[in-house]
This record gives sequence, C-alpha cells and structure tokens, in this order.
Amino acid sequence: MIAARSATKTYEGKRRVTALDGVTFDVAAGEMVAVMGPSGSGKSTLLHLLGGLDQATSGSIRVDGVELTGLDDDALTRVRRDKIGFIFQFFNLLPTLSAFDNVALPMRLQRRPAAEVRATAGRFLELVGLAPRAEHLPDELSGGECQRVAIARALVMAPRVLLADEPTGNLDTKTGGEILDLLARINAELGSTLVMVTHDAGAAAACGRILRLMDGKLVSDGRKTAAV
Amino acid sequence: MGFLLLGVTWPYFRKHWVITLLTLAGVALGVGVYIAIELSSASLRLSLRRTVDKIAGRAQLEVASGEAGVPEEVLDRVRAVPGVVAAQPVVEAVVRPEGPAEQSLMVLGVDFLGDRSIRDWDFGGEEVLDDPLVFLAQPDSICLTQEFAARHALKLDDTLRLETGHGWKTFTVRGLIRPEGPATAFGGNLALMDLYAAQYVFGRGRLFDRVDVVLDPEVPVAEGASRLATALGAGYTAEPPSRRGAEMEVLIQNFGRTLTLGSWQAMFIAVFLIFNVFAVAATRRRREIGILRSLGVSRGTILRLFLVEGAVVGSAGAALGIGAGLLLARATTRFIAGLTEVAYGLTHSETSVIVDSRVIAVGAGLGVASAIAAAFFPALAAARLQPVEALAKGGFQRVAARSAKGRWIAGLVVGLLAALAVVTVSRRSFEGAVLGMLLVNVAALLLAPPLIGPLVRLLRPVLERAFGAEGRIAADSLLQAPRRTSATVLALMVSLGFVLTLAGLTHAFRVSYTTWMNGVINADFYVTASDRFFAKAYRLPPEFAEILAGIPGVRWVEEFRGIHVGYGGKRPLLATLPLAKTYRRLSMPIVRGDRRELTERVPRGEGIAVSDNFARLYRKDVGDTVTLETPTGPLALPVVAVVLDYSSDQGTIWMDRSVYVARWKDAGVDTIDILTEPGADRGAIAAEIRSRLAEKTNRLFVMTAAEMRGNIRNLLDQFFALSYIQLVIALFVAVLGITNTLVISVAERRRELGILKALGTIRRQVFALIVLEAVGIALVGSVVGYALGSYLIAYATDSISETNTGWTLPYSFPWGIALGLAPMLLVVTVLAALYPAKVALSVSPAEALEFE
Repeated sequence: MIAARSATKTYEGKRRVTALDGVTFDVAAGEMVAVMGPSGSGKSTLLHLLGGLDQATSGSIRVDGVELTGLDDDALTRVRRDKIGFIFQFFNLLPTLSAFDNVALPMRLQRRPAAEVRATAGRFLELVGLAPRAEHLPDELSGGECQRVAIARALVMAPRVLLADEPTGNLDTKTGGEILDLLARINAELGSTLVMVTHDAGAAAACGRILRLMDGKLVSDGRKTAAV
Repeated sequence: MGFLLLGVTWPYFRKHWVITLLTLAGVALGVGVYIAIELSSASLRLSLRRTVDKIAGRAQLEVASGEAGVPEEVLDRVRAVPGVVAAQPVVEAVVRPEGPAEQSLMVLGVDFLGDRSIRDWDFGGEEVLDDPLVFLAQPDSICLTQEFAARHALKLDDTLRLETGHGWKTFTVRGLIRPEGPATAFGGNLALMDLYAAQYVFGRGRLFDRVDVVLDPEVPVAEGASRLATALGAGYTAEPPSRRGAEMEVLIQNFGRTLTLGSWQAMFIAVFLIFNVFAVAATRRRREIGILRSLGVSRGTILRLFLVEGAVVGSAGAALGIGAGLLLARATTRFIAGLTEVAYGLTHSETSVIVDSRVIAVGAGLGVASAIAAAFFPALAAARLQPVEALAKGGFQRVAARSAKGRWIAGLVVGLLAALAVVTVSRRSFEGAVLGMLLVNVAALLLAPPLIGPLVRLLRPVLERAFGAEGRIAADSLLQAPRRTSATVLALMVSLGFVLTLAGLTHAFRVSYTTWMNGVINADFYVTASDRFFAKAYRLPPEFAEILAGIPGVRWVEEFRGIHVGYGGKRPLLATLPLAKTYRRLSMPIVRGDRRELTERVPRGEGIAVSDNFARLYRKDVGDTVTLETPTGPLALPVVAVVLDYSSDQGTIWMDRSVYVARWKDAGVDTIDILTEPGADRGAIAAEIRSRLAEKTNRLFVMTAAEMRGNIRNLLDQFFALSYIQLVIALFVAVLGITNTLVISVAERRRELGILKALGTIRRQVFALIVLEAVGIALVGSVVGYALGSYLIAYATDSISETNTGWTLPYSFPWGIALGLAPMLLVVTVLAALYPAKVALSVSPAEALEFE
C-alpha cells in the first residue's frame, strides 16, 4: 500500500537541514504501523511526505500505486482527498462547524449528494460513538470526543490509508487508551492501513509494527516485540 | 522603547508587509486627497487674488453696480466726489483667441489717455502711445503683453482673431507691453483695447463694468468709500478691489467645501483601516504582550509602544500622501477651475498648483493625528491586558464582550442625540443639518456592528446553497472574527452611505430640475451670444430683438437678462423678461399666491415673484416687501407669488424687464426667446434668424428648446461629476478595506486553511473560499450601507438641501447609481480578493498544521 524508496527531505535555508535521509520501507495493506523517534528525528516529515502534504526532495513515495513525487498541488490534493485520511494531535476541527458538519465536510467539498452525506457522516459518527452529540460544536466536546470526531472525519471518504500524528498526545491516559482501541477496531473491521506517529510507547504497542527514526534515518523496523 | 520598536514592532510589521502597505495606502489616500483639494482651492484663490490685485494697480476703490454695469454718465459724478484724484472706467472680458487649445485671454478696455493715472503700462521701446490718437482711430487696435506675444509668435502689426460679442473679429497688434505690474496679471495672458471699442465688441452698450478710483493720500479709504456711496446713492458699491477678489474666492471656497467632504471621507476611512490593523495586531500579539508584561514591561510602555507605532505608520503614510497629493493636485485644480467656470463664470488664467507649506503641514498633521487616534483604543485594550489573561486562551474575547456593551450604550446615547438633532437644529441652519447628519453616521457606526452577525447568519445558508461547503466556511470565517469583519463592513457602510446620499441628492435635484425645465424652457428658439451660460464677456445688443421680431412667422420675442444682485448677504439671481408675453406661454408652477395676481401685477411692475428657495432662504412670503439696491436708488416691491424655480441655489427674483431696464439702466440681453406662429416653418425661421443677424455678428447660437434643455443638462452633468469622485473613493475604500481584512483573515487562518487542504480542498475551492469571504463582506457592507444611504437621502433632500439652498426636494432613490454600484463593487471585491487568495493558495498544509 505504501512504498518509500530512499525518501529524502532537505530544507534549504541559511543552513541546509536534512530532515529525512534516504528512508526506505513498505507498508502492506491493512497493516497498523507506529513511527517512533525523539523530537527532530523526522517522524512528522515522514508523515507529511506519506500524506502528500509535502514533497520529497529526492527518492520516491508511492501510496496505493500512485507516485507522489513530482505531482502538482492539485494532483496531490486529489490523492489526499481520495486515498488518505488524517488524524491530528490537536484534532484540527473547524470550530464553527458541529461534530456532524465537521465529519461531513470532506464529502461536501466533493459535492456528494446530500442524502449520501447525511447517511455516511451519520454512520461514522455512530461508529465512533458520538451520534448523540452530532450537533455539538467542538468547544462543547471533550478532548476525547473531539478526537473521535476527527477520526470519523478521516474515515468518511473511505481512504485506503489513515495517517495519525500523535493521536493521543493531547489526551489523558484513559481517553488515549480508548482512542487507540477505536483505531485498532477500525483497522481490524475496515481493513484500513494505519500509520501513526507517536512518542508514546503504549500507543506504539497497539500497532503490529514499529518504525524507529533517528536523525532522519530509519534505524529499525520491527514487529511488535521491538516496542518499548 | 527604541529596543521594543526595533525588536518587537519592526519584525511584526515587516512580516505583515502587505497589511502595512495597505494601511499606509489608506493614510496616503486620506492625506493625498485632502492636500490635493486644499492646494487646488488655495492655488485658484491665490491666482484670482493676484489677478485682481495686479489689475487694480493703484486703485483703492472700485465703483460698480453688480453685474449690471455702470452707466457712462456716472463717471463724471464719481470724478466730482471730493478726495477722488483719478477715476478710470474699465470694461473687462475674458475671451478665447483663435487656435487650438489656446488659453483664455483677459481683455481690458481702458481709456489709454487716462489709465496711466491708475496703472503703469510699460510699452518699452515700442511707444505706440506716442501717438495714441492713431491707435484710437483704428478700432481693431490691440496691445498684447510681450509674454503672450512671444508665446504665440506675434509681433507688431500682426493680426490676432478673438471671439467677441459679434463673433470672430480680427485685431491688429499695435503695442507690446512689458511684463511688469498689471501686465503680469492673469498669467500674462492680457490684452488692452480702447474702452469704447471694448464696449462695442463685448456688447456693453453705454455701460462700463466698473470705475477704478484713486483717492487723495489724505483721504482714508473708508472715508472715500463713504463719500462715494453718499454721492452715488444706493445701487452702487464703492469697495476696495480686494473685496471683489474675496467674493470670487468665497465662490471657490464654497465649491471646494463640497469637495473637501471627499477628503474627509478618505481620511475617515484611513482611520478605520488603521483601527482595524491595530485591533488585529493587539489580538495577534496578545502572547507577545503577555510575555513583555510578565517580564516587567509596564502598561504605560505598552500603550506608548502602540501609539508610537500609530505615529510611525501615520508619518510614513502622510509622507506618501504628500507626494500623491502634489501629483493629484494638478488634476483637481483643472477640475475645480473647469467647474467654477461652468457654475459661476469664473475664468482662471492658469491652473498651476501653488505649493502652500501650511496646507501640506495640516494634511500631514491630520494623517499622523488620525493614525494615533485610530491606534488609541487598540493600544488601550492591549495595555489593559493582564499578563495571565494575555497568555491564556480566550482572554481577548472577554475584553471584546465588555467593549461591545459600552458600544451599545454609546450608540443609544448618540442615537438619541441624533434623533434630537434631526427634529430640532437640522432645519434651522446648514451647520445644524450637517451636525445631525454626522450624529446619524456616528450612531450608525456604533449600532451597526451587532447587526453584522445576524446578517452574515442570514447570508450563510444562501452562500452554502449556492457554493456548497466553501460558502458555508466563508460565512463562518466572517462570524469567527466579528471585529475584523465589522471594521471593513462599517467603512463600506459609511462610504456607500455617503455616495448614495450624494447620488440621491443629485438625482432628486435632476428629476425636479428636469420637470421644471421642461415646463419653463418651452419657447421655439433661443438665441444667445455665448455657448457658456455664465460667460459674462458676451451680451446681445437689444436691437437684435427687434430684428428677430420682424421675421415672418415669429409671433413674438422675449429678451431675457439675468444678473446676480446683492441681497441678504447672498447673491440671488434677478431674472428679467417681458413677463406679459412670457406668462402667455408658460404656466409657472405656483407654490403660494394667486395666479391672476401674478400674471397681472408682476408684468405691470407692481410686484415680483420669488422662487420657493428664495422665500425660505430670506424668509419672505407673499405680501412681504423685498428691497433691492439699484443704480437709480432702492427699489421696494411686494412679493406677489412664490413660484417653483430651480434657476439659482441662491434664490431667484422674477421681475418684468421694463422695471429692470428703467431702474438698472441696462438694456443688455443675454438670451432672446422666440415664439413662432402655429404651423410656421421652423427650419426656415431658424435660417432667417441666422441670415438677418449674419451682417451684425457671426457669434450667434440658435437653439431649439430641446437643444437648450440638452445644453443645460450637460452643464448639470459636469457639475454633478463630483459624485463620481466620491464613487471612486468609495471603490478605493472597498479595495483597501477588503484586501486588508482578507490578508489578515488568511494570516489568522493559516492553520484552518492547512486543515482544509489536508482534507482535500483543491486550489479552485481555496480561491472560491477567499473570494466568497470578500463577497460576504461586500454584501453585508452593501446592506447596511444602502440602508444608511436610504435614510440619509431622505435627510439630505429635506434638511441639508433646505438649509443650504432653500429647496426641499422629493425623496428620490438613485437606482441608476445604486444598481450600477453593485456590479462595480462585485468586480472590485473579486480584485481585492486576488492577492489574499494567492497568499492562501501558497499556504503549505504541512507548515500550517505545525503552526500554533
């Protein structure tokens, strides 16, 4: 599903900074992968490249068979829209939209029929257990609830890949655990490929595989036993 | 403070350089328009004053009888007054020499033998006046200034064609005057002609325009004026030349006052832009302020920091404004010169701009003061922030909630004062009416913001239905930042309200005037000597009327003469016609009085009719007596009727021509109105008019009523071009305000834009989002602006018009401008959104999502 080949990202400034340095790995469809590493190791950069939010300076990134390197802005946007769902640490919900409207937003941006929007958004809110709070604004929801809304929004376009950036980083332990359970359930039930950046060893433990980065390089790629 | 300015302020403004530039442009617009209009007005006034002063020479007093002229026999009476050392008659006319794009030429008709007692004409080596009799014996003689002659490559004995009351005439240059003293007046575009030749060619009959007087050094000017007044009686004025200059200056100043409103409008908008930018800066720099405060920076220092920032922005904007103003002043000077010529017949020798450092200093000072004043409340809000509050989330919203309550209370208080002013002082004086209008605007500014939210909420489903999620998000973005949105909406409101008010007033006047004109200008032909209605250089000789009356098919002719007379501190129009004939063809709408009385008594000279605005301006009604000063003594006549009339904004008096000719000793004619027999061949009559007068003059304009009305409408259109200037300023405001707001909006919503991009919003949708936000601002601004304008039109057509001109006009909404403005505003809105949209499109989602 995901194939990174010598993916490199450098930033040109007063000083050239290499954020990601020749990273190569594959993620199979339906896998749940954690990306770990200290601050500045290149985790977020890797996630941005996988999600088409940014372009690799060299190397190649393929998502569901599409080569992202070299795509123009609109083509990258379409890849994000059609193939990828994002879950962020700070939820990134639009404050003026209700939980339902936030979930429905990606479909509305694509001009999906109103009946389909209603049914699909409602189903995913149900899936994350927030149907009773559909009309609440983000300000009226708890952190965990906001993250559930964000997950529902990420799923609503049925993406092949879910990318999560510290999805539990802004939540208490109990709520974080619930979110991880939810992600695991979604991975199992919907078969979505999930790549999750995290600092939290507990969160990483929920994944079947852990990629470890250090100074922009992939230093280990291990199955569950490599966690902690 | 210096460290904070360099270390904190400068990086912020450098980072937000587009907003900074737009703010500077706002100040520059206000200062520039102010300087341009004030400099133009001052330059034209100075140019007039210089001309009057130079032409006056040594004359201390001028004897005149308004625009009617001084009869020749009065000259001896002036000379006989004790203390008068010299008295010289003058005929003055501004004419056009032949040739494309020529400047106007001021021709002075003087007595060459005596004029040197008043003015020093230096003919240098070409002493033509060694033999003045030769000069006088040839009536085509003319003297030019050396400057004018050089500019037009003319030398002695060359010929020059000038447009006179008898058409184009050829003159021979028989003298060249050195450019000294009076010869430098009117920008050197000066010519001298024999007094009696000038009387003839300019149709003055046996009248002089004025008599210039030099007094015995022992006699004080006031004493001399008093002796002349006593000797000549009422109807004549003996005043220093500067007084005439001052009167002309007042006309320009009055005209400039209307234009100055435009500069105040621009300045007002600049204040809004600055307020908006600083209010947003206070919000965006909340954390920064919190950090500074927690490090021990005092409230006073924060306050001063913001105020100094305001002063710096104001100074930089003012500097740009000075440059822009100096450039713009050339155009506005030509514009004002053109309009004052159309409106008041003032001819300007030059339209160059005289740079007055006081005007520039005041303009720049206003710019800086406005910037500091606009920055004050945001500065105060920033200074009042507690460090904890500033560092915490949501603190600013609480401050905003408190200020909203204060604004409501202030709005209600000002609203009450406005209502009080509207029902009391607004009808008493022009100043009272303007005060009422100002209070209504301020009340609207204070009370409108709470309406903006509900209006955007009403708009949201419309935008969502029409444009989907982008429409909804755009509306939400406006709701999210009420302060940011409301500043631009309010600026648009005031600006559009102002444009609509002016357009409504213009439209109401145009509608009323056209209806009136269609009823009054209904003769078959109008014959004049000038295509410019207020040109004072040309008159028709009275014998022309007799010639035209003899044309077969002509039923009768009417001689019209209109002069401005001094009355009640103003200059109403005295319109004279043989009314017994005139009342047979037109039914003048009567406001008060009896029609039979009007049509019988006024033609007999037993009374006058006055316009409705005359009645209001001078508080005269049917039965009251109006006393006018005439060359033959005071003339007191009762008001027989008040009629609807739009001839002059200073009021109009209708009098029978027989009374005018007898009392003013002026048989001059401005226009001959011709009525034909029913079924007569009008084409043949028009040809006959030209043919019969061809020998007498080749300066003749023969117009039908429709052509005459068309010409007057064209003049009105030129005059009303003023409202288009306001329109351009309003559109500028829209561009500056909306661009400013959107750039701020995009900067504040980088994260949101990042989320939307991450969720798959394509470029076209991001673009649409920003444009729709702009459209939302324009729509809401239009709704409140049109609402304010609709009310102010009613107020202006009533109170403002009545106290300024005496006319109350019917309410008339300017649908043309209002509907035309909407698409213009839409185009401008999209243009204003282009740059912010470009910025929004360049937002990298990866960077934006990191942005906290």
